[in-house]
Amino acid sequence: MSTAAVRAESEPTVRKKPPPAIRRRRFLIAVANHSLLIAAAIAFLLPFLFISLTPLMSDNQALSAKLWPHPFV
Amino acid sequence: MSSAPVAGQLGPVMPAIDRRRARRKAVWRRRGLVLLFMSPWLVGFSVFFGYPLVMSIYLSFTHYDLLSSPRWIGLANYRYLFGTDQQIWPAVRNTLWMIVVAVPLQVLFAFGIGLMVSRARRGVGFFRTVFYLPALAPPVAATLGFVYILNPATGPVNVLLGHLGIQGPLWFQSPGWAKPSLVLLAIWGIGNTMIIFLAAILDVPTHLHESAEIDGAGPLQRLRYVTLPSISPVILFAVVLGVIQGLQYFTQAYVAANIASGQASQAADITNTLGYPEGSTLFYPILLYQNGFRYFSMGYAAAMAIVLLVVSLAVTLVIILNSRRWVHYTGSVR
Repeated sequence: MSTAAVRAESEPTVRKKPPPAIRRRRFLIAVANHSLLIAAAIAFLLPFLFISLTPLMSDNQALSAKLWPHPFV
Repeated sequence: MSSAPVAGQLGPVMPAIDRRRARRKAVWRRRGLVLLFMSPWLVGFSVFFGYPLVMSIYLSFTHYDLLSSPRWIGLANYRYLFGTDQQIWPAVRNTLWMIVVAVPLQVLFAFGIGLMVSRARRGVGFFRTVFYLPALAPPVAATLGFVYILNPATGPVNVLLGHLGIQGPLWFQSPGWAKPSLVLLAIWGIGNTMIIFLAAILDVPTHLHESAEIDGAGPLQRLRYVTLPSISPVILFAVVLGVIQGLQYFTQAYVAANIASGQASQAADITNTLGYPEGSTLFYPILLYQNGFRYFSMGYAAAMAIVLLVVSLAVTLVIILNSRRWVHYTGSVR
């Protein structure tokens, strides 16, 4: 076995760090992805919140523009 | 002894007959055992599926009002369905509209959200839960909630739009906006499909993406040539299921029409609530229900149900046959 081959086997694999431009791009993509996810999550949660709050309102409150039940019924 | 030669002559014949008889007995015993183990399913299938199906086919050729015995009228129900009934074609149009618009949007949103969740680095569990949560809401409660949320005067959506200087539409009160409102509700409930897409996307082998990347493929090309072909069976599943659910679309439209018309009571005047507003939410299954359980035309409702079954089968068959061109099954030869 040659010396080079032995050295290659003994050295641990080191993952090469991607260049800064690629890292920046990946970071921006991750930020955009999370922003979209947060916006979509809010859009999905709000109706659920409204549905959960409506049973705590009186009929008049449910048909008013107020979102928070006052008083709780 | 005198019997010895007789026994010796019949010796090779008798065991052969006995063996054959024993083998036949064993085969029947095995068949009986199989039938015994299958019997719970067989009984359930016959009682809950086979019998109702056969009875529906029979009733579709009769006049039956639940009070008197069914009276055979031949093809009269089908002739009325295809020739005379004025409400059928608007109902079919509305149902087709729902399938053509809602199903692609549902698949698109479920795939998009599944893709975004699969790429999230943090909070994956939170996002997965949030997007799945609406699927757990009972359809009636969810519809009721959406009718209130999209209330033209007091609903939070129109109030918010008003703050932004936009006059919101009438949503469930408008013939033009009632179906898009139902589509919004359908998109909100994509949790089940999203979870299936997420599992499929995470199941795409990493080495395919890596080799495509080495070959110089960008993110969009990897999506087009690696992800989409890999999850194509799941897309097919979502489309078939969506179309079948679209053909049977009932609860949300029925509840929305009743609540939006301000007549939640069962005693409400049916002429006002049917497809409110102006027949825009009159879907085929709603018309079927009205004919069966409001007008007690069970024979006609059965004919409508049989036509719906045949159409569902035909549409599913067309989609599956067409899918051979674009669906790829890993490791199988088709």
